[in-house]
Amino acid sequence: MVFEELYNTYKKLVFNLALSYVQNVEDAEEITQDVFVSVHKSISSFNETAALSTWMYRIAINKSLDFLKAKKSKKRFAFLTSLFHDDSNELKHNPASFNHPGVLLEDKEALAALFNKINQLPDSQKTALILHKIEHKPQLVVAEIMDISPKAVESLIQRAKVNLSKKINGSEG
Amino acid sequence: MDLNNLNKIRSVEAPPYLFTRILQKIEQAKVEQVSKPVFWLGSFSFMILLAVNTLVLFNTKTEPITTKNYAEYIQLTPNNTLYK
Repeated sequence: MVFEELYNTYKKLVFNLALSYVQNVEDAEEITQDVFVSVHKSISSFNETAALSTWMYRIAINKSLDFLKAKKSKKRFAFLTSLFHDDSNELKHNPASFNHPGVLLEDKEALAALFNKINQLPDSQKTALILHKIEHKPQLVVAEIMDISPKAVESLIQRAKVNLSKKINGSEG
Repeated sequence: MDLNNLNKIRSVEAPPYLFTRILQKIEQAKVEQVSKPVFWLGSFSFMILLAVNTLVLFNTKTEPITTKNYAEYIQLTPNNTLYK
């Protein structure tokens, strides 16, 4: 498959998945670029036994999680720097703005609050929840993408739900 | 707060300029990447240069520097005549 054809087939999938992780257009664009640069580099090593879409999902998930990790450590470093340079005009805490183009204005507040809690979940629970609840993938497909058993996926989603309700009740109570 | 709210998220199209940016990044990576043969050729040349320099340094016999040697080397004359 020619690279451009591959891009046209999977650009929407990758961009929307990245949006689910970062809820921000600029960051999702950066992740999408990284994913396709990586795909271009490693297309020759693609294992034909796995589905191409599964492979694309895996790369997109890994790049999104790497991006979030890098952003978190950058934020931590900026916070430490601001402690020692109190005169700097930089914000000490700069939360990423919720800028999801797939969310209507009237749902923005509720979804921003929900994503705020989802973002606090462990990576595996967050990934299972995003693939199942946002990407609407059946648990079997989620299991294949995450390279775990369907039972493990079910357990991850269950734990994610429990953790979310705890966080929501904790913040409301 | 309900997980069903996630169903309200609509799928969106990727921005049209993204592909051009990706191609730019790929080209940039190609330029930045030093090819393996060039890297090994550079390393090999450096090692040869280092070996030749070491050999020359250790195989050159130098006379100990004395005041007389040094005076001859910088062409110091033992009188005040400036012009011969």
